[in-house]
Amino acid sequence: MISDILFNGLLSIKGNGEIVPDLAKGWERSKDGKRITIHLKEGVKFHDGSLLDANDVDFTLLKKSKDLLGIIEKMKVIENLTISFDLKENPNYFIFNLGTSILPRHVYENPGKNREEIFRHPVGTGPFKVKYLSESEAVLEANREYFKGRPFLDGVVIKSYKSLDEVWSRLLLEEIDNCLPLSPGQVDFMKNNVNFKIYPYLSPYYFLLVYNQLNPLFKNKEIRIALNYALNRNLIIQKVLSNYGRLCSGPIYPESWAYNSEIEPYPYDPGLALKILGKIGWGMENGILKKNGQPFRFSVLVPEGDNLIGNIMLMIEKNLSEIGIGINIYPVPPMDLDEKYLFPKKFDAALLNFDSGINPGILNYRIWHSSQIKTGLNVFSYKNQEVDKDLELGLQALDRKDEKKYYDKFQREIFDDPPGVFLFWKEEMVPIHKRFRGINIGPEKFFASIPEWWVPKNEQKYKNGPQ
Amino acid sequence: MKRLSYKFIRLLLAAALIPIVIFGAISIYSSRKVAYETVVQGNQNVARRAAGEIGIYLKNSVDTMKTLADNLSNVNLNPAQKERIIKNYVIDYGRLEEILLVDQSTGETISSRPENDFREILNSNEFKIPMGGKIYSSDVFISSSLAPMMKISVPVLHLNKVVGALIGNFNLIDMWKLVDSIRIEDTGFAFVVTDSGRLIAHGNDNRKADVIRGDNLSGLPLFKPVFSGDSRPVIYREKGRAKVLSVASEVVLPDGRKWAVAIEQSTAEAFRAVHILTIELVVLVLVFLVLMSLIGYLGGKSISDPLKELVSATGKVAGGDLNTRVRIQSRDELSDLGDSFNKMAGKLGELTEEIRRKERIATFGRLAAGLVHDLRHPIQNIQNSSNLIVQKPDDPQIRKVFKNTLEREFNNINEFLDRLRNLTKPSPIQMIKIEVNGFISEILRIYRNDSSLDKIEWIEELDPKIPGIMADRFVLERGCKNILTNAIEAVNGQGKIKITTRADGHFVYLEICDNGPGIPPEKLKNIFEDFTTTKRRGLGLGLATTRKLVEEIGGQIEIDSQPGQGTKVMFVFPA
Repeated sequence: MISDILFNGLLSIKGNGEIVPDLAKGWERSKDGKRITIHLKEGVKFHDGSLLDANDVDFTLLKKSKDLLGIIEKMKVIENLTISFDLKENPNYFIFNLGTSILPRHVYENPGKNREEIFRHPVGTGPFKVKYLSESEAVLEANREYFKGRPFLDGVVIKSYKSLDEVWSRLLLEEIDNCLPLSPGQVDFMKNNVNFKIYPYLSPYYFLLVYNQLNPLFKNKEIRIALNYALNRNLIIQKVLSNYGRLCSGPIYPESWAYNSEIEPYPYDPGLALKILGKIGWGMENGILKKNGQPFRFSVLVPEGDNLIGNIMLMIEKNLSEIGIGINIYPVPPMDLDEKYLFPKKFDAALLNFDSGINPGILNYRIWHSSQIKTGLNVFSYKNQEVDKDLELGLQALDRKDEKKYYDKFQREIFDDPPGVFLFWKEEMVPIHKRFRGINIGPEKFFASIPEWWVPKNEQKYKNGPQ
Repeated sequence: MKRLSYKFIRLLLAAALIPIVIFGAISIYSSRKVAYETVVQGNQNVARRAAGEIGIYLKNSVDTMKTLADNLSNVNLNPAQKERIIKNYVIDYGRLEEILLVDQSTGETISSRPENDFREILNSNEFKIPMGGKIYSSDVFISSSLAPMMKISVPVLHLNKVVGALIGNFNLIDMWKLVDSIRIEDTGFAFVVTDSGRLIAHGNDNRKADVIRGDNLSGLPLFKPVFSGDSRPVIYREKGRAKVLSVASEVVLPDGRKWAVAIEQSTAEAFRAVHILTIELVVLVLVFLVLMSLIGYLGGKSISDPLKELVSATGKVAGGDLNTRVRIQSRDELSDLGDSFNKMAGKLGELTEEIRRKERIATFGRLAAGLVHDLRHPIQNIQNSSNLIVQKPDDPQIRKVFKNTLEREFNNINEFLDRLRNLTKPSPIQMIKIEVNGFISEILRIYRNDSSLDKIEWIEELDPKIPGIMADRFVLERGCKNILTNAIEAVNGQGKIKITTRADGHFVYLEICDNGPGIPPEKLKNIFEDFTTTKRRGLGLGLATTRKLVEEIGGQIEIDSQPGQGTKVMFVFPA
């Protein structure tokens, strides 16, 4: 999180998925796409004053990033500021990883005795550098030598508190200028507060009710489609999110270049759902949907203690009960959710919150590609050949037009063979003190926008350093 | 004259001041009281209404729970159906966030939440109290989504016996909205405290953080009165804040506990009308007083000005200007006084003119008589001498007497004429330094040589050391000759006349003493006045003239005389 303003990657990814060069000046790809040559910007300094060069890139990518080892065949430092990569495959995916924070080799290669010190004083190229770090507080000051020009603000202090109540009190007392995004109830409360402005942005995380495809109940695509008609998603957005949300029809972020805006979402039509189910043998008996005497019942895992998800489930449960489907809701501790249930595939269905990754490439591959069932993130055992093909081709596409073609198709396929019910995208409301200007918050990491913030002179509060 | 104005002012002020001050004080007092009460009542009404609404709101929540409990006690429902009902309630009734049903007759625990562990609840008041047949309401707490929450639980009855409890979590955000909507002018806000002092709602944005923190306000002065039924307003000041007018009204919760809805407004704003009124009245009173003073001053002036004029005119008349007139046109007693004065001054002028005329006639008469009288002698003497010379023109003795007589008498006539002339038209004075001794000796020589004065003993005691004096020769000569003539008359042709001169550093003294009969005291008093004479002949103008003349050349005359002891006349001149 904080690393977003302490470090830079070779490139950065904007909110709509576009890639912009960051530390890199530019790059070239060979015709077959397997060799990428990156040129670094000149004169970029680390916080300790030393200059960035290709050795730092080499060090960071090779030593620190396990993921890339599989893809990189060879990495060569050509000159002080040029480095080339020969890749085994998947050049698209590789590019996106070049957003990783670049570390200075001379600091991190052999930390030795200074490990503690380095931990407390990370050294990067970013717009802010660390004044000091502690358990509860991070005090940052502006990097006046930042290669893109120093940030307007002189410093940032990040504090962590023990309870949400404390966070709220301090926010209302104007002791802190910003905190985590607000829940819908909080938005109502803060709307009327004249000291704060609320900045909305569409969170790139989507909510999804997803089924374990191995469960016989969900084998048939028709059932999964019927369930899409059974849920009144708009009502959920209205009641649970107080309308701070948008309907979701697939795993690609609506503001991304890859979004397929031509897909019409499933309407709320429980009658149609029953008809579809009826066609495959499910009928209502005394208000319970049954087939061959077996009631349609399944359990849904939810992360414990999440009020929002609890309320969503209430409404889903109501909708399902109206068509005779019963569910058991199992709240489990979030930590156990992955380890004990999802990865071991011990579940019927789950209500989860996924990162769409802004860029369509690697995440979707890892979640929905059949190759990822055994060891990847495809814990749902979702398998669709068309989807697989689209994802593969998309990752390898060399030009944007081709990429879009494949991802559009991917979205259509996954829509027609839904792994569950894509519910909605949440609109995040971030409260920031009214004296700040130049705020442009988007789904890219929150902190990345801070360098652009400024405060008119007469409204500046902390003039003499962070407090 | 100013004093009169001031007297008027004082009079008016005394007359007007007391009523005005009394009026002012009463007005201020009663209008302040009325305004104060109006404001207080207005705010109290707002507090009462708000308290009423909150009370209804809470009652409705409890009624909802009761209705639900009633529905759920229907024996024909199975747990799944009860669960459905409960969950629907939570979905549909937005402010009810969670419901839990514990039914001991059926052993059911049905919740709107998937969590299953309710053991804790069974030990808590939210279960135990309704099991005792009473309604329970919890303290207000702030949820993680920043909303005020309260648990309400009601008993669940079956066949009129308590068999369980229905526990609900209510979101009281509507109470906050109500409190937020209360605004009186700019500084009037509402807030709600529980009877244990906890602040659970505040309409002032700046104080909302206090609500989240759960501040306890039981230390405030308004706290005790409101919960002990005292509905009087409280005015107090919290540290660092403005003075406020505070009124409150009670809300009684379903379980009998209490909240208070307080309305606080800064006294500066609440009583602004009163302050303005007070200031207006005070200004009015002051303006009145100034006006009074002005009127008094002007009134006094309208009387004292004419009086001033009269006083000044009177002074002028006393100083001799009989043509002074006053102009007073006030058409009242003062103008009458002015007219009288003018008349009087006119009459005075006339009278004085009369007197002067008569005096002139008298003077003229006496003058003429004196003239005749005095001239007759020298003329007679000359006549006699002439007759004699005609008879014996060859007698040398007679010729000598004739010459002397002529000389003397013509001299007398001249002198007499001179004196007369000088009476009316004094000749210009020429001051020169005169050596007195020589001067007087010279004059005395003539007298000594005058055979008709042979019988007089002339004594001269002239101090040779006396300094010279500044004087006019002729004036001095006349003066001395006048006095000498008087002395000669006094001794009646035979006696002693002593002439003394001396000086004492500052003055030179010339004394002429005779041993004549002296002058009686009553005549001595007026000796220098016109027309006074002891002589058988003469106008009696001599001494008056002499004194005037001597004074004109800077000297003085003094006369000392006692009947039987002679007369001493002293000339005093500055050295």
